[in-house]
Amino acid sequence: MSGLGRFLRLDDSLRFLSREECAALVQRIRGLAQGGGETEVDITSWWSGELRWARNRVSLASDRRDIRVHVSRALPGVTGDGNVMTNQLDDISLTAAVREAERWAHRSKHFRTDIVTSVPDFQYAKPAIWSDTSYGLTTEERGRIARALVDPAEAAGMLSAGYIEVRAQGTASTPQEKPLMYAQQTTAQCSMTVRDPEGRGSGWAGGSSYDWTRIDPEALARRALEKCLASRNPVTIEPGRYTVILEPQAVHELVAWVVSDLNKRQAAEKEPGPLNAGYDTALRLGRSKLGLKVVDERVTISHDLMDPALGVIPFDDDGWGPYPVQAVTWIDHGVLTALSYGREYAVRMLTDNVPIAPRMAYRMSGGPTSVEEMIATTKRGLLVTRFSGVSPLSEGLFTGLTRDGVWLIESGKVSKAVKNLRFTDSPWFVLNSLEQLGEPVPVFSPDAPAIVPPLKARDFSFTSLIDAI
Amino acid sequence: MAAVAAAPRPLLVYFGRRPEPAPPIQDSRLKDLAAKALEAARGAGAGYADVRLTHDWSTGGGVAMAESLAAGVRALVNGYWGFASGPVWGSDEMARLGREAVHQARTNSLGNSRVVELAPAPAVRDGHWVMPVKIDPFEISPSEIQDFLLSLKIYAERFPGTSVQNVDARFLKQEEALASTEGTYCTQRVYGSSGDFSFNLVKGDKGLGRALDGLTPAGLGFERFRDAPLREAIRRLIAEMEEDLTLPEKPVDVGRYDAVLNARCTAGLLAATLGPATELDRALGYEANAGGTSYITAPFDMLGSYETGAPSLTVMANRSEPGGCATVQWDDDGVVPDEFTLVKDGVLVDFQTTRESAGWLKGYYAAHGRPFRSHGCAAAASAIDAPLERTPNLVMAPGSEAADFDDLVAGLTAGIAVKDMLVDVDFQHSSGSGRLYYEGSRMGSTYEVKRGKRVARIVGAGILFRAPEFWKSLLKVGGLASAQRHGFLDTKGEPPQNGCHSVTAPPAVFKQVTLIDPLRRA
Amino acid sequence: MRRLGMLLSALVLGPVTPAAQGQTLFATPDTLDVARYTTVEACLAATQRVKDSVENQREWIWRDTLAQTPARLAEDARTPLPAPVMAVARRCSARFAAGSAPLEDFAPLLSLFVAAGRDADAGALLARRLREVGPTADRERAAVLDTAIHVYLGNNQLPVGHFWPLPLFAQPARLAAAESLVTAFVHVNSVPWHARFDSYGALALAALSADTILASRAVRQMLAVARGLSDLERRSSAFQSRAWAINLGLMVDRKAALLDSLRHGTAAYVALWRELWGEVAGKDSAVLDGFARPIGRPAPPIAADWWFGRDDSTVGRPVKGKVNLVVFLNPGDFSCFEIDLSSLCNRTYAGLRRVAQRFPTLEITLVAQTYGFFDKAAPPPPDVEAVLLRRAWLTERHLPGTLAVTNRPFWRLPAPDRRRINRDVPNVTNYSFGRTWHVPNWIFPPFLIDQDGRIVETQFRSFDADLPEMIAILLARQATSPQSGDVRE
Repeated sequence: MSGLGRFLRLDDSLRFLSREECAALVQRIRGLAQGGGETEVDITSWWSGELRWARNRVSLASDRRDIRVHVSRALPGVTGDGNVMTNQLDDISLTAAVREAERWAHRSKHFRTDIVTSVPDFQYAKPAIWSDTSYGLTTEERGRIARALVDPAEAAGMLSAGYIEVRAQGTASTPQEKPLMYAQQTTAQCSMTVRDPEGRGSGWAGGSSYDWTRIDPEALARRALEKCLASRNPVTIEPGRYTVILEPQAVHELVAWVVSDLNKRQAAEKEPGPLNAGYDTALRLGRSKLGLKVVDERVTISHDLMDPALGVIPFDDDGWGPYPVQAVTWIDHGVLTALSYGREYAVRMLTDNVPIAPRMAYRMSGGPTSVEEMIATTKRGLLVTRFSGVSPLSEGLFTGLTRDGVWLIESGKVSKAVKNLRFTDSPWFVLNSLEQLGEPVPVFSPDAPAIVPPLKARDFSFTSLIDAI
Repeated sequence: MAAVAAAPRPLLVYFGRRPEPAPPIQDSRLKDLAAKALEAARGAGAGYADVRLTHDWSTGGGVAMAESLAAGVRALVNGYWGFASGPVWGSDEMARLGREAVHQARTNSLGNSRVVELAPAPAVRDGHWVMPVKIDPFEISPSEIQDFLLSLKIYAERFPGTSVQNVDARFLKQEEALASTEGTYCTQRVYGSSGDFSFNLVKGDKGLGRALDGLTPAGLGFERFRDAPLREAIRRLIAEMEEDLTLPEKPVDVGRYDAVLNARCTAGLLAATLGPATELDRALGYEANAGGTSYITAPFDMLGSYETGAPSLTVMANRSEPGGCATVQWDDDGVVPDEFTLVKDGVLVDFQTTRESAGWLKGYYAAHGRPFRSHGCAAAASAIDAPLERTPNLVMAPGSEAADFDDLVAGLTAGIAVKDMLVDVDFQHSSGSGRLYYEGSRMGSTYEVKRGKRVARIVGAGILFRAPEFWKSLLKVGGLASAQRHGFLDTKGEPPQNGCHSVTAPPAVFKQVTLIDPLRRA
Repeated sequence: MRRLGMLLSALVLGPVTPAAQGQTLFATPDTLDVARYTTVEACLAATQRVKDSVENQREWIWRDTLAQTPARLAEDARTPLPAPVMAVARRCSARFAAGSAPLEDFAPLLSLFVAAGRDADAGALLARRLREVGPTADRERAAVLDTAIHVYLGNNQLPVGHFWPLPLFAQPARLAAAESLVTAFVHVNSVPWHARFDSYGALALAALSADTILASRAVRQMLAVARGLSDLERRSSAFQSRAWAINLGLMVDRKAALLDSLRHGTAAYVALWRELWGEVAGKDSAVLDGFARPIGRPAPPIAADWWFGRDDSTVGRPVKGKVNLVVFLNPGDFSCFEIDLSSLCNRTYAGLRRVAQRFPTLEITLVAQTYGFFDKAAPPPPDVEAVLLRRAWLTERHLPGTLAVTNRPFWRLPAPDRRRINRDVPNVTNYSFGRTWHVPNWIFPPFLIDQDGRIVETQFRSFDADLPEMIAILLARQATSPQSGDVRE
């Protein structure tokens, strides 16, 4: 019976495809190929339990699942650039998908040789990316949790909107001549926005992890409500340069862009930008700032997938064969010590088999100063909950908006809520203008886990006011 | 053999025990299948339920060809919605989905009460509609599409100094069957297409990069490439670029200027501000935890009185215009969308609604003698997703005089003219910035205008605006012939869903727009 | 609905595509109806697509098993476009008439007519276009002629720095027509010398395999352009960059005299070259540097860390008293492992094998070096990589001769950058003879060395052209007594 049979079961114990099922599916698909060559199959299957609320009432609760099977065929001597996708698992649909992939291979003129060296075999880590609790968080439990989150906001006369999701995914990929690579992972997230019914204030809090038990929904609800209440009736202030105290979520929204740059070694060597050090005419190659101090020496940005809070899928493959994801320290006490790159770069430029896998999960180092202490030592500054719409302008410069709570600090105390502002600044400047750092905590980042401290920085540039609350 | 290349690949459906190839959407057996889901939902206690079956085809986005089936059931129990979806069309699965949707709804219907009043909609009895396209892109050989795209590249490169950066086309086709416990059953087939054609022009040591304007998403088939005057558009664009290269470049001189914006910029600003701001669910806080809210902060109070713009601003909405990205015969509630007015002579007169959100306006409509009905804005990307309220096609009324972009520029004593803009707006869709800066490819141009003539290209500029004031500063609106339609993709919901709608707008003149240097720090 | 039904029954009954059998592995290209296409460019695109897919089908099998001899190349040059390609071009172009098509479509339509084999229409279109050019519009006339020359010569032309957006399908090249166009072109006022030079060069290259008489004529005319230049013109970069073309031209034009001088000795050969260079490039030493090849110089000994495929380890290479061919493999970072199977690399291997077979006493030394990785893996030690190189060159590609592999010296940028920076390989440095000449980075630069250990020649059109004749002459010649000192520059 085809794998599709799984989905006809009435119980919901099997909500996505297991390793064995993916392996069997790949076997079947390869068996359908005609004309020799290789067949690459990538399978993603997922289940998601979702609960959304607004205006203090659940607006939708869902149970959804789907599959994506991608097939591409490399025929002898020819590689097309078409991969074909189907979400059905029966023989006829898969046969048709394979034929379509063969027609696409035939249509393009991309050549390859038949000389294929064996990519070495690697050992792969087993990071913590699966949680039975997340997978087992029932509809009933989600409902109960949501009601407990909404009640306090409602009692306070505020309007709560939010979202809880638990998701399980099986990812399978089939590198040439290697056994199937498979990972199953869960992600869980919980976030909410509490707003004043007259629109005079708004607060937000959120958390995400692979493990639902690491999220404290009640604490999030309390924080969102507190911020909402404290942010009401904000006053206007002049745009300009301010000392800012950024909560971890706001820091993450800037530093994620830094991590994105840290993931691109070749771009850092070739393209103008904050990590580029120009072209060396003697050596005839582009240089990055590797080895140079690029930010404050208190900053270390790293990732260790075996950290229980920072697990990611332990393998990657960018077209040059699969390889393991390993720990990396990109910035070590302010010095740029590593930049991520793919396997082709590793083999050709560094004569290394294992590259530094790019990934968006990270940990940023912190310091001893709590947010309260930061406030107490600030003569005049702004406390920011988070940013929204952060987008790149040019070579390291970004713009974005504050959201869900900005407060003016005067003489060591939070004095008043202020209106939201647009900033034009660079995360690189921020990391070079640090005054104080606090304790790193997990932030809301469902796509890739991140542990980030709060920080205080000088001279942050707010360029205009915005109306939005 | 040609049939193999052209016909759709069959997927399987489990009507009974044995699977059979997925039939065209009008097959009556699909109605029976849908009925099983509704039966199960009713049996489990749903007050209302609907089911969607979709069969999707698409090309582009890293996938040469994708085809998928999906089924989703939505159930309403005591004012609470539940939803369940999956990739299988099968009898047993329909029953499972029906029961699961109710289970989801029930679990959240305990305790606090919630009221949903769905605006009435006549049941659709076995309706069927096909979006009229001339050429179904999935029925022709991909080689024909490939040849066409390459031919555009060869054509453009006959002009000295041009080099094509990117040329591609993407298509989608969806067949959907929708059934509800109110007796609605309808099937429809819709299409979408979009593309990109961008190239550089180098003359001496100066260069510019641009892209063809008319390839944004639309509800059209392959004819929008094959039968469109694209070669003419390429020639025109090259001529414009050559002219632009003769103009001197100037850095931005910050200040306030009267500004002529071309049709695409006007449409983009509408799509970023008034479009989302008039989604009733958004205005009431249903997207507060995601995209944000609306600057129409008191929807019920502001309806009928709030001035969203100058008296020359009238914005209508529809889901019926041929070629519109959001065009359908029935929305995902089973409602036939009507053409309605959102803004009349500058005043907010209505909101985008679904059956549920129209229910929130029941009192208002009654008090103003207007029919109590949904405007048909419910849409789900596919049956895997639950329907959401999405923006329909918007149409900004043109001015009464026949004036196009060049005429509006000619009428400007001093100011700026803008042909492309990247809009960035806040989470109430009010304050925003428009990036006009030129980075060597795809962006540009902003011009300095003196006595009706474009005299220089301004490099590195941006604008700042606040939607309410901005639309009130509308000075002049281009004529009917100058209006253009552009398609906009956007994302809404948790989890996020993609959607698309068209905006038709003419070029327009705005008074005293704030011009800034977006790269300047405070 | 019915069509769907037919399709479904086909699938249910059995597989649609035929079982794999040799060269019919893929379904034939789509036969959509190109007669519906309304633009010339769309027809060109369709023609290109069908040509690519026919080539895909034909060439995924190593071309080398079908011997790539000069005779075969000549035959290929004379073979028309594959029938399906011409058929598509013909069918699609049927709606375009030479007499009525808009002249702004001249360039693509000319290419399409040629692809379709509609030579008379091509000629008529060209004539019509030329008539439209005013009598004094020299630049326009030159441009039209230049376009037509390129179209008629198809893909068989020198890369002359043109950015050529059109696919070109003249196969075989329309040599006679091209020649008369070239004649007209060079007589248009205002055509600069390098354009004249290039048009003769393109004609010569296209004609080399198919019509040697025409080729010789074109070569002579090309050289005449070079000879007619002033010293100032010769100092330009336009001239310098054409030195290699001039050399090849001289090789073709003065072949008999050159081979004859070689029979008299390497010194005589070198002396004749110097004379020829003098005629063409003048006496300015700065200019002559661009022509200087290290012919006549003593060939430096080949050093290696590993030797493969040789019996006697005491014999130094190049081997004294024998005729030697030293071939550098991948002297730069250019890797010839990844190019497509029908490529220049594979044809070159075949040529080398033929030379080895024909001259069993020829001593062939292949010079290679390690890179620190092989294909998609980084092998730990260099000696392992050396063995992989041996396997790749000698075993898999059956290259003849002895393989000398150097453990390429390198250094690394300091941590954390750590990129490997390759140093020059001593063999490459030695055979580069200083700054005025360096081992070219292109495919397999070969050095032919006589029995006295002197470099005879380093530039050949291919391993099948000129080289075998020269080897035969060297073998027939007796080893002369060693001359004192280097042959003077």
